[in-house]
Amino acid sequence: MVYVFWMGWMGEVPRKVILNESVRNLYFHVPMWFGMILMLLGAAVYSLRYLLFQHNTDDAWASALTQMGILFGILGLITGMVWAQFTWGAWWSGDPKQNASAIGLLMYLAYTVLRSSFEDKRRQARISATYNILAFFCLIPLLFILPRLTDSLHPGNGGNPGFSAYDLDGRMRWVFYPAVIAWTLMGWWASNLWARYNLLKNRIQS
Amino acid sequence: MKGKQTVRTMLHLFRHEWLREWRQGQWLAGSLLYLAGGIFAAQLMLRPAGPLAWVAMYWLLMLFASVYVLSRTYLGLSNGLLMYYKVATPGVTLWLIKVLTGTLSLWVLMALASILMGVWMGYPIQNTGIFLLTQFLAGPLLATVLTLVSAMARGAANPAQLMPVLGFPLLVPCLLLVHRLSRMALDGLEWSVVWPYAGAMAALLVMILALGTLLFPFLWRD
Repeated sequence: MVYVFWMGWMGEVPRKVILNESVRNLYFHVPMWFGMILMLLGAAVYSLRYLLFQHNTDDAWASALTQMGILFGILGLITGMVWAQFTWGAWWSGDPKQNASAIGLLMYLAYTVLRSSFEDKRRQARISATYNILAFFCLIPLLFILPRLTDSLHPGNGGNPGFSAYDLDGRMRWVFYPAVIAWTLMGWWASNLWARYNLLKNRIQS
Repeated sequence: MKGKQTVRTMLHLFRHEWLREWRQGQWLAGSLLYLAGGIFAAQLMLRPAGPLAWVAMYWLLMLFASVYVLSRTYLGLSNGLLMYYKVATPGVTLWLIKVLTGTLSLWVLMALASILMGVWMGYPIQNTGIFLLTQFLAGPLLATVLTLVSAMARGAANPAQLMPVLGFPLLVPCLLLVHRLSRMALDGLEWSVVWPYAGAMAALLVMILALGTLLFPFLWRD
């Protein structure tokens, strides 16, 4: 993490017209989405495990991973919006990718609403696990298929070069991949703490 | 032998569903009035409606109406009736019947909405065939997702609020496709442009149906 932050703020980056220093966002914005997808995938897997085996720990993991995924999603959206303000000229331009990620976040925020509206713990765990799996399967076409059907300003779409085309020279690659790994591990560790905290809290209460 | 039995159960359930809906009467009249009231309010405010506003208004009203209609699938059930269902059928059969019933009622509502909006606000669609195809695919999609959501919301503290909160975000991917197809119907495009999008919608429908079939037994277990 330290390495990523140091390189993110201080390291040399290639300078391009329009993008300029904002290309540094690659170290923060893009890993957020990688992290979010991986954590939501993890949440769906733990939900499935809960449905099959009914262990409380699986439920706690699924819930914590989802919440951390939402946090990463919000951070990803904010970093993306700041970047968009300086390159596209507006915080929100209704770009398909922006819309899709906002809807994805709404889906998972609905998960937290669903969770909080059950008194019975077992029922809460069962229903929210089912919803989580459904939401993940709706998220996949939303994030990866629908934006490709329409034109987008987002790098990697509509004739715009993705980060691998020329933004990323050898040096940036050396920061980018560790950044993805570091952010994901950080999210995973935080969800682990959060899940264990919630399990302990439940045990004390009951 | 077993297959025959299942089919017979399904037919019986299907008849039961419609009889129940018919006897309660107010359900059909209620959802029609709901839709008609919405369309009338829309035409008051959008009188010289542009074609884009027409399409947006149509699907927005259908979205609200479908949440209203399908929230009844499980929320409205009395405990006695629920017991009867549990004894009489495996959950998945019941779910499929519910999806079928919901789809049929949504098709009726969509047809009526087109007629009412056509009369009150003009009919801007140039290629009705594409619009019909869109409605044909949208019906089962809305019904599948919303029956699942209705089953989830049952037993929660605030089911009436949960229906739209869970349903809207899950339906947005479908609505994006629906809107795109409707735009094509509006502009009267060639069929060859339409098929990829219709195919994507059908694929989404198959995916959600498969997912629902796998997940429903977990929702049903109490």
